[in-house]
Amino acid sequence: MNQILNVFRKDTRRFWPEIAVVLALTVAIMAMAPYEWRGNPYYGDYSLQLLRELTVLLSPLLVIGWVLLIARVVHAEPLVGDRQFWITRPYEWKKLLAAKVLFVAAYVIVPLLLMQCVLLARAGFTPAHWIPGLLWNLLPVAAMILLPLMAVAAVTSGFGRMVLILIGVLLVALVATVGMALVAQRDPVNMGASRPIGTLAMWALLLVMCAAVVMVQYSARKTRTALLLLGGMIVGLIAVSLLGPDQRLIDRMYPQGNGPAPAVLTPVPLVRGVETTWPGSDMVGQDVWLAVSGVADGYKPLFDEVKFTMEGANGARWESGWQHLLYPTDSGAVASIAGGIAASAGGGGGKSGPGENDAEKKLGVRIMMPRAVYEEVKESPVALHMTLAVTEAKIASVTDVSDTEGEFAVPGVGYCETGGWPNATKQSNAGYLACRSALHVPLSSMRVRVSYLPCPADQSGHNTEETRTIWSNWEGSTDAMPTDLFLVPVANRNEMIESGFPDENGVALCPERATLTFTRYQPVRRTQIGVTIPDYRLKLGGADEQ
Amino acid sequence: MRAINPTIQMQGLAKSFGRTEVLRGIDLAVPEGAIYALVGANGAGKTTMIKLLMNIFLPTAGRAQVLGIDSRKLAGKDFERIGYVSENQDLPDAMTVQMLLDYMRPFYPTWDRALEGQLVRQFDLPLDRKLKHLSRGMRMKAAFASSLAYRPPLIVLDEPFTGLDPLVRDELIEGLLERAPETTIFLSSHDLAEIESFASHVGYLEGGRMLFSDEMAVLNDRFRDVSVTLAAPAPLPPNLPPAWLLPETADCVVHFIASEYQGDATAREIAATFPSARDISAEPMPLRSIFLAIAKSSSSHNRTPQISAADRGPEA
Repeated sequence: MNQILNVFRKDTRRFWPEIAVVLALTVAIMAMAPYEWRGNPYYGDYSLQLLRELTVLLSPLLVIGWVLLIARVVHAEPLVGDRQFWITRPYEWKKLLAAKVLFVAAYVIVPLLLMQCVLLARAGFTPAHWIPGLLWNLLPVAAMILLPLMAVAAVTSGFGRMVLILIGVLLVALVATVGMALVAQRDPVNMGASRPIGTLAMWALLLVMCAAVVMVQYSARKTRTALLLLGGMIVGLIAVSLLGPDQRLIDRMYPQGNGPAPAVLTPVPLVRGVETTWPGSDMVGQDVWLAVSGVADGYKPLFDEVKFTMEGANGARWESGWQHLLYPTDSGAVASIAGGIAASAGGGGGKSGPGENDAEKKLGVRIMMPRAVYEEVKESPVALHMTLAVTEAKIASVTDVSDTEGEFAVPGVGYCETGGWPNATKQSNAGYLACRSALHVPLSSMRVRVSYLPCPADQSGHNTEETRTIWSNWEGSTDAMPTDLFLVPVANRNEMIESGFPDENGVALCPERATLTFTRYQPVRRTQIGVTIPDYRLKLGGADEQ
Repeated sequence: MRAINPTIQMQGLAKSFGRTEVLRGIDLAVPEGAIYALVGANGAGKTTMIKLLMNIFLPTAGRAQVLGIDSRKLAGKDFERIGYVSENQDLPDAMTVQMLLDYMRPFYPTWDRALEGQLVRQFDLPLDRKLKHLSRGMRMKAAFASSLAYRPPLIVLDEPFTGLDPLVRDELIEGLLERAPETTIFLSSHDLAEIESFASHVGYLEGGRMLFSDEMAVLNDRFRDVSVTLAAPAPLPPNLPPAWLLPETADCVVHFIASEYQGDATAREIAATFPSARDISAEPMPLRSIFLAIAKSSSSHNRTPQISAADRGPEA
């Protein structure tokens, strides 16, 4: 322990300017980040906007500060070379490594955690309640920043070489990203899919390999072996990105027969989407419409993935892999779908708000197949069997908020604030809703319903009264990943809400009363639901209905 | 040199970098209490040998033991008993001398504060100056102080006096010799003159081979600069003893270096080889001349002379 503290003291004494810079940046974020969630996010005063923009710069600056600090402290006892002073002194490698880890903990991790606690407190949350989440959040910070930096510092003899390697790694990442984008172009459905398993696999790979590099260097100073490990890690990351363990693991994540089906899916016979293509892709998409029923009160099925099999009359068979449901179309769009428009509900997808389970709902599922397969089967009916990976979520709480202006608490969600609100200004068309949550956005829906009356200035004599849902959105995800909020542990969502509009007679309607409904969901279980359409035709000679 | 309880022992120690053989099967034993000077020209392999001993490099073949420990396992606490100073060592330049001493102190249970103070005074070290602002001589003094203050039983020095002015060199040697009774010193140098005055043992390394290794006193006794005056000019007879190095003749005088000089026995051998000899003189040689003779003999014959330590039984 004496040796650990001795090295730690020496490093602290030597690198106090770097430590001061990092701590100053940490304090600056602590002081300025709350401006992100203060006041009107769209029409605030200029100085507030400027502060917000400056705040955005602070996080990258802090990371650069960490790069400098970690490089300096590791290079204080360089692990590369044969002229180092310390290698013929009675250093014990485990204690030296422990001293370096203690240094990073003391001047990076602890300040980060303190900063996050302070920010949570300033956002109105109780930090002690969120400590496990904050610690869990250290996983991506360690996997993506701290350990890779230590590993690169451990295989370099100085800061210059370390920067060169970091630039090299960034270039490799850039090339890999471009390569992956080109590959993903052939698979538009999964292109934007961010599945938690793949992300966790990457983090695990980064953690294990970087830790191995650090251990190899500190225990044996075998730089060549360490560099090989680093190279292997980069290849592994690219492989995980390209191949991904998701396809194979989705079946495990969503076990078949995991309790009663959370919903019954039946084909909607008269509704058909049009084929969809993507530039540069050989894939063709087709929207298949399903009626959703049998959902238990207080529960909600969330459709995440689909895979399907098509069998033609001639015995031809084609089976897809799991396809991520990017924009499963919600029941609210049924009317327009019937008119031939495959509408997409942005944001959360496949999920409807509270109190909507009592009626039969419809779900649009976009299935993707290679054009060659599509061309082969489009003219004749096929037996289509779809399997949907579904998360059953339970309604945890419903909160209605009426006639509010300013900040208010939403249980299970966090704190929200309204301003420029229809009910307050009557004439405003730039109301906003700003909500903040601790660590991550909880799985929830938000809906704004507004009652309208003719504006006070209206002289037409009409007495139209209308209530509309002017805005609704889904947020959060069903996975249990650490927050992706990175440094600032407060999730901040701002929405602009347009309010007034003319009615069918051209009478200007103004908002009279607004109700916000927040519904928070709790994922309960994951399973699969199958549905078979024995005589499905992908193409009907240009018609969208049969 | 007794091989009993050697502080350093090498058996077939070899090191190659790629295809370049830097050390070729070195056998050597450094007895406890010796001041062993490893001498050789630049590039002979001295620094490589020391780095192998300190486990900075791993041997390609053979093995070495330092203080009874396999050099490949030398680590951590083992260095509490070794003081290592090298001319090309990267010191923590941002530290002052005082900070260096304060930092090093807790690493060594045997650190002697009184000795530290004595060394600081003896070397006239400026405690408040950063190492990077010190002259080369002062930096070496600081390195010496931080390596002697814990009274290590083994001190390993790699070219410690290179580039130092004579005054600083003498100060360092003086500081070193004060520790000599309680320690074994193994140092390398390419300058014979600087080690001749205090080394108890000497080894000569050339081209990765140990040409010889012996006690200084034995070495001085063994080598003689021999001149034989003949009655009339005569060519050198064939098949001269291999221990007679660099034989040459001019007029009536035959000259060679006797590398196994044994007084009367050698004189009788000379008389038998040169029956017309009128006068034989055998003068002791300075170390430098001995080394030059060995080096010249080695290069002219391109072979290791038959005087290497390995041929001398228990004497290393």
